[in-house]
Amino acid sequence: MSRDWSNLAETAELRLSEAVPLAHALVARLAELEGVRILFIKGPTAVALGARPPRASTDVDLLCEPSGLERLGMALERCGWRRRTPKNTADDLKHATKYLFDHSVHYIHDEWPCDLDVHFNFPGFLAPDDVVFDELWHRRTSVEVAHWPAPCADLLGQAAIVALHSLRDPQLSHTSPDLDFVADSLRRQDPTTVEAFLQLAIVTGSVETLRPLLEQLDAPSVESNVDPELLRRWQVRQQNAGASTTSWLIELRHRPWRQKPGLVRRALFLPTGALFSAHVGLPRTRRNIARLQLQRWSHAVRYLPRGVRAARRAEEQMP
Amino acid sequence: MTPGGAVWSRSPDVAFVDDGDRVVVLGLGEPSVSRPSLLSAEATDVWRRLERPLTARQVRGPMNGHIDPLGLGHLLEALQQLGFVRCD
Repeated sequence: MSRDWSNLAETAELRLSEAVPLAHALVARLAELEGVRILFIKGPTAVALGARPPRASTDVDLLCEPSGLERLGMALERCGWRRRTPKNTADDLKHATKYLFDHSVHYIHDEWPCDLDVHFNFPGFLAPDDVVFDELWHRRTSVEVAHWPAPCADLLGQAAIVALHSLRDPQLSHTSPDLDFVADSLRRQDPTTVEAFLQLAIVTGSVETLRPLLEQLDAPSVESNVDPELLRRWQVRQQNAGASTTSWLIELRHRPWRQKPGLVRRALFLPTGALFSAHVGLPRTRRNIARLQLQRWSHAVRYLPRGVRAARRAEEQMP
Repeated sequence: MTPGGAVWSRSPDVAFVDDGDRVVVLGLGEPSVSRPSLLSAEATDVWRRLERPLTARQVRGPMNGHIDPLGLGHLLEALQQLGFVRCD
């Protein structure tokens, strides 16, 4: 009698270590079918190319050509992915948003334990988005992830992205080792690498933002020709303007008095959807709502002095 | 074509992760209807053997005596119906 093979494959409850590589493959395939150019950045592709220390990833990062963002998003939604509610709405943070360097759209899926972070730009590249994408695309390579070809930024592109990610939040603990790792990795390449990296920085408008790394590499000094206002915002952002507390404080300082009470109320009590946006799968019980609100308030109190200083600096540096 | 003479291989439209403990595959022929699948022990055994194209006889091999030839044929056909392997 023949055996029943109907259960030889069952829907998998994915582990994070499986979800991240499989999601790379899924997105690569969808982009291919939609004719959208994408490049995976950070994560397993950066590790494979030697631009980031080996470290488990919790999400999938990719850079999408600006004109393909909507098509890719619709393809993802047909597969059950949905846009994660932003923590703050554009209406809430009209003034602070320019310091946040809004750069990506997050997608989540009930059956996948990882997020997709679809970037339409990468903070620190101050040239226009399409110029940056075209330069990185021109230099692209491919890495096998989950036994599937994943188009990705090449070593120099990944190095720039990992470095900019580190330099954006220099106060975070993992940033300095990542920057040192990138510098060591580039030094180990052939002698033309530093010159090529400098050229990439020039084209993508990141000579100033990558300055600490370029100095570590003893790259020749060149003039930056980026918009000074963009550079100023980047510098404010580096001084902790990205922290949520600082953003709300910047916004508060710019709003008329009559709008301040409402803004304070919204800052203190986020809508439930926004509160749980980074906690997929956590039951929306009263207890969890209270716990997440308390965590936010505790974080806000801890960052309040630094936030006030950063908000003042942002205002002082206004042209 | 009989399974003994045909050559079986992994479908080129499948991404997978094998961490040594278990195998999870994702068919990408039609990604909008595809979901990650965890292979059973027998299917995992066959999947790992198909690292390179093999005939059913080669898939069975000396170590797979616990699956009779007819059962192996059905298993390969079931995997083919799921789009995970193909037969040339």
